[in-house]
Amino acid sequence: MAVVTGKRRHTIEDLWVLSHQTDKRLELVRGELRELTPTGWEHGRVCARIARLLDVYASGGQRGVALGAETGCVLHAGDEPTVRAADAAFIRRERLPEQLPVGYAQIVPDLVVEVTSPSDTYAMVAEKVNDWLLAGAQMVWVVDTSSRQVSVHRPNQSVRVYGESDTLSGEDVLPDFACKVSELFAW
Amino acid sequence: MAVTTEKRTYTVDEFWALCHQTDERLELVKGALRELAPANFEHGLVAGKLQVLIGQFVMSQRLGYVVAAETGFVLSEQPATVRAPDMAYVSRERVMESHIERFADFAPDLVAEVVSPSDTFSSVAEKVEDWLNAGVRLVWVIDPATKTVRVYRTGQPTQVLREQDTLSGEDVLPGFACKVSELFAW
Repeated sequence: MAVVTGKRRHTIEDLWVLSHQTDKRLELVRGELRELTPTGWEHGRVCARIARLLDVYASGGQRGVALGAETGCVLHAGDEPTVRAADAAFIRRERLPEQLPVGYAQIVPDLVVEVTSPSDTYAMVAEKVNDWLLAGAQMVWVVDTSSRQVSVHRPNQSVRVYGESDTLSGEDVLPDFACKVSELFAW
Repeated sequence: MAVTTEKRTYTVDEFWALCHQTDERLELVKGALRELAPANFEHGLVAGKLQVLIGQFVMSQRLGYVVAAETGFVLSEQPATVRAPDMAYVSRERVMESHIERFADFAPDLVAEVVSPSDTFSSVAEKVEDWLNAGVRLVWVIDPATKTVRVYRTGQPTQVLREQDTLSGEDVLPGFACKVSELFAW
């Protein structure tokens, strides 16, 4: 869950410098710092499972790169600087730069995965989904650990919600990727 | 907030019978019962306000009907899904030739859902999906905590409206408009 930390406006450079001076996990949302508190156990377990599935799919870089939690991505520079960290993400090979960036990735992932905690409000998650899609993500999966559902969000498409018995498809973003929703939550 | 109450599945007819044997407020989602807890006061104020605004407009224009919270709509028979919106507008054409003494067997034209603090994102997303799939043309998700309205339509990107923005009836309620801030003001 994100806690609003201060009203003073910050730049992306401020965030980069701050992130080296503090142990706190921070996001920058339209110039405003948000602190990310450590998540619960179930959240961490599901994030790890998804990262593994995406990393296996990446096949050692042949299909692309899987990103783990807390990887900062610049969604918006300019006057509303926004750096968000997805819980997991995937960038297709053809969109990768020659050299991986040292700082925050300037590339918006093709797939963004957000795993929700029971304390996340509707508005917080809806805002994140919106930010990722507007920045250019092709697909966002919101994985709900309490209801064991995954909602799939894509630009210009209506939301779809899948339950445990359904299959989650990579669609045209991660071709040939498929897994049972239940697999994300299985021990 | 919706709480899943038990595991057996119901048909629409079984659900109809059950609703006459219990005082509980229930929805049926893919055959499974969901309990609807009473909403908090702010939720009620916002839903009430919207109902008055839309109601006045719909009645003055003789466009159709506004239904209050808890009205059951059958969104799918197989799997059986009966949802109750916080507010809905149904045009005259959709109501005609329907059995109004039972659950509505048609989808509303416009649905508004007011978010409670306990609602999870996926429970709201699932409702939006169900309404749009059933043929609702416009879904408003109203969040009193952030004073925002999210506008959902099939095949269109979600629109986020803030307090200073105008909520429009678009082609569903042509001519209807109000400031988003009006929904949250008293």
